[in-house]
Amino acid sequence: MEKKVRWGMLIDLRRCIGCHACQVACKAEHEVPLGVWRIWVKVVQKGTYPEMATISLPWDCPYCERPEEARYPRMQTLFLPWLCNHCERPICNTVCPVKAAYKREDGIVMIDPHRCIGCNYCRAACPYNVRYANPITGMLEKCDFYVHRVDAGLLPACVEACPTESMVFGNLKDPSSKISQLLSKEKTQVLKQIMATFPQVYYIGLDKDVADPLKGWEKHYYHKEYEKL
Amino acid sequence: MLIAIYFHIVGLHAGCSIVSITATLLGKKEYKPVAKIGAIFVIILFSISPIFLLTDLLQPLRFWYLFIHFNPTSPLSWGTFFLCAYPTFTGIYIYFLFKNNVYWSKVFGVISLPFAISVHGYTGFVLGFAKARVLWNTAVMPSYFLCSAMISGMAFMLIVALVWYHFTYQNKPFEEREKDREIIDLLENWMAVFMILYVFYVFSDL
Repeated sequence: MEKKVRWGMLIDLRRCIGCHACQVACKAEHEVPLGVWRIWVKVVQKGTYPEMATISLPWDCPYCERPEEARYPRMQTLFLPWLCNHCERPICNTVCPVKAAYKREDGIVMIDPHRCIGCNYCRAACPYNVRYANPITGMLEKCDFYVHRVDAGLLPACVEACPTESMVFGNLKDPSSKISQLLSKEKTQVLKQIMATFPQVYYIGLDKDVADPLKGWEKHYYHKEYEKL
Repeated sequence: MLIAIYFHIVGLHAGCSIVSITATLLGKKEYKPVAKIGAIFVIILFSISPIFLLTDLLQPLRFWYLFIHFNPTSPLSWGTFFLCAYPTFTGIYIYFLFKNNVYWSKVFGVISLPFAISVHGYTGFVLGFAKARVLWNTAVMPSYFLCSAMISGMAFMLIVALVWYHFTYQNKPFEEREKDREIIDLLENWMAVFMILYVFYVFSDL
């Protein structure tokens, strides 16, 4: 019987409180050196702060006595755990000159430490910038979904460390797993969809301008449309 | 940083060898000093360029893995074999050029011309395949690199030729001086053409 496993991860950003527990667990488990990371909780602040006085939002009340005070900046801070996306079509595998980067049958993208020559090409080509050169060993490393724990039947350490259960890890091909049920129920997004790498790390509640910086112009476009109304 | 220096040096010697081989293939007698100046600098520049490649690797002792593991989708892997084939054929070409053997130098010139183009063209593909960088990931990158290689190679040869002619200026009769000036003018005109092409590529890249 063919093994039908495709490991994936789902991160619910509505539950993430930015406690960096996943980052600490990862550093402790893999002994990641200082200055580099395999998972990083990115703090994204977005909004219309400098344009607070000029922009008029569509829900301004025109009958207020002082409409200037009704205007306020729409600010938001969100925590974005950023890790290797274990793409279905990884660019790092395409460009590696010695085939040190490879994809396992269960979809985990890995680096062979006995083959890597440290040319840094995969690091330059990765759109997610998740690879780092280990300053101690001189090897390229990245998140591998804790492959030694997953093979032993355990969950990844970052998922176990998450206090709010915002990270869900499971088999994408198994319809009864928690991640498959959440993916069928909720609206999910992926990072940098424009790169056509088909990432297998999904997010709930990720804004499009955060997920894909190249598409940020759409937000300003819509604001101008609102101003016309 | 080292890779940027390497790209520049590769551009210099690829441009030099393309100009040298073209001058040989055209077959006129007055182009011969151009071909020889180019050939000398191909040898000098090529012998220092692999130092930058090897020292940039984090595992320099594993460089031979590139020869035994071949990944057909990676331009770096192709470039390894271009960098091996190019000095072989160009070395034979330079040997026959200095032996004044016209027929065989033309034959090996024709063989080594595609390798001279590909040895700099692959660096353009290396940058073009890096999908994450918006300014690198363009289809014009290989031809853009080739164009800059031609410009830098020609400019380098022009400087060397001018210095050379400056020191041998007094001993020459008037007719030879005129010939030298004509060659330099020709090189300058071709360089202007490539510079216009280069500006076109810069703007089509943006």
